Amino acid sequence: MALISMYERDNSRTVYRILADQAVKCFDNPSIGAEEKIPLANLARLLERYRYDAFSDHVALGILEALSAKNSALGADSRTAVRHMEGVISALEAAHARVYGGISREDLVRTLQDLLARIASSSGIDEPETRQKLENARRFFVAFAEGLKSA
Amino acid sequence: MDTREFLLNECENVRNTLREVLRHEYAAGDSKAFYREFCERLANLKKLIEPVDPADASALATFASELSLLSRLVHQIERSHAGEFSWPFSECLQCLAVPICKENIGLPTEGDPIIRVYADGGLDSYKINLENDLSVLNVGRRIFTIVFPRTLKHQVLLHAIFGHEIGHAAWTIPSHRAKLKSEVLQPLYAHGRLTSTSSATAWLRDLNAPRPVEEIRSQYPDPYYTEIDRDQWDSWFQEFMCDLFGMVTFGPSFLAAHQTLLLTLDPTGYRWGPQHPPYASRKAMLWRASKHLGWDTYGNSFDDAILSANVGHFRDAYIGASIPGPWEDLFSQAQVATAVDALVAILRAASSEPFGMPDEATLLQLVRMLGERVPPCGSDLSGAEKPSNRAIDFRHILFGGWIASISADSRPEAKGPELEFSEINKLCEMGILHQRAIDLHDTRKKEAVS
Repeated sequence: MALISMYERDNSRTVYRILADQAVKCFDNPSIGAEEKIPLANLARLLERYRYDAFSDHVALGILEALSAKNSALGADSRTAVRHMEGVISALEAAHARVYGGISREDLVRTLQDLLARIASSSGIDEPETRQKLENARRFFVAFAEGLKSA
Repeated sequence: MDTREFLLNECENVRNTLREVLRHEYAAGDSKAFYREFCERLANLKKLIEPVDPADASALATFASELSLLSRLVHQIERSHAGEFSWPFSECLQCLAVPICKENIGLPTEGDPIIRVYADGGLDSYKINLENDLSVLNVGRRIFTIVFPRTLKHQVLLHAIFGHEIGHAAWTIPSHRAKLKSEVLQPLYAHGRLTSTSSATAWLRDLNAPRPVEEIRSQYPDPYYTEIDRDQWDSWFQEFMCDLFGMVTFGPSFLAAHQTLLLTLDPTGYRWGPQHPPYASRKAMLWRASKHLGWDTYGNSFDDAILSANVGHFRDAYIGASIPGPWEDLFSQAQVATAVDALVAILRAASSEPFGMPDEATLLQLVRMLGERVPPCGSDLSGAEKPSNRAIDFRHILFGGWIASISADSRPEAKGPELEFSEINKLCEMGILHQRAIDLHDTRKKEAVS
């Protein structure tokens, strides 16, 4: 018997709130970007999913695992829980609309991933043109974090 | 000790466990890569835990969950040391899987996933564990763990089943998923009996379904068992897609491994579940895919009559001698052809080479070597002063193994008693290893010249 059992908890909003807060710290102080590659990479991954609307992370069982008796539908329903990302997606959409208006998801994601990459590698972040872009991206992640808190 | 302090203590425990793990020898890849990744993840997590507000229950729970994940991953990695699995095969698998699983998110940490391999108990333990959870905080380079059944660790012919799992891995890359949905799945569900959940339900409840289906329905009369919902329908199509993926990556060896393993766990071939459609319907789709790829006539024009006959036996045994039954045959030839062509294009675009049939000379060489109980590979055994070794795709070695497994001792050069399946597997595993040496020599020779 396990030490503790509880209904599965969806951490997605907390995870992305933490990541968004980390990103804002990087935008406030780009020199720390090189030490924050992991949070920035995970945000870039989230944006990639947003670009392709790929939010179902239903985890398939192994090809034979699905056939074994304990996982058969002709028995208990053992389907893996699908995460509920509605709160995260809504926060992304709201931040997108608020900060970047009518630009497409494709353009938004390209822009943000480029800026995250520059922060992570501390390259080209002092150019005046980039600074305005960084400020917009910062506002995006602030709005995103706020959206997650209120979801 | 409060939660925050305990979590920081656990970070140190994980770090110490990681150091202990490195006492083993690891093959199939660079242990430095995963050590570096682990250290970065641990450092990142510790940095987040240190300033956490003790009242932030949500954050504390998230960090506890992340530490558990890291601890589990370290334990799995500990089981991936050399000797636990067929490392010649796993290296080839990595070469096949890495290009299709490469992320493209624009950051320095992206790139090739780190692939580790370990053995687990149970015939059903073939799988790839993917780090694709949307509620995971702490991933730099993704780590994929490939799991083999412990008892089958050297049965490389059966490992062709991993082609299916690579399909699931490709699905985790959003850009691939978008293409797979629109170019592979959409053609499959555009027409036929599975176009919707209601039509799929009607198909399962068809009064003209084969007898095994009737028997299963009698065992489980509750309508719930034949009611297909949206999640199940999505899962089923992902399984169909992954079967095609297995086929275009591993070729006919995949079909043989697929049938052998799936029919072992479900000898009726007609059971279904929340995640998988009946095997019989999958085989019917693969029959059509084989036809589209020309595998139904492969070998017919070989000069070597014995080889031609043995390829025919393989075809009858694992592809199917006749058109599938009407209930099982869910997709039209055109649907399957479109899906297969799209998959091949997706693989090529990702710089992953789809399977191509071996020419007669290659297949004959491999089967003959097996008959002589020699590891099948591109070694020149002619005795020439300057051997002329050649490159051979490891998937052709597997195919040669499957042909040898059903051809009994029909070849004249066959020595001694009939080859057992386990012997064929061992020889093929060694063949893959020898081929690696040949390819390495060839590469270094070219580098020396250039």
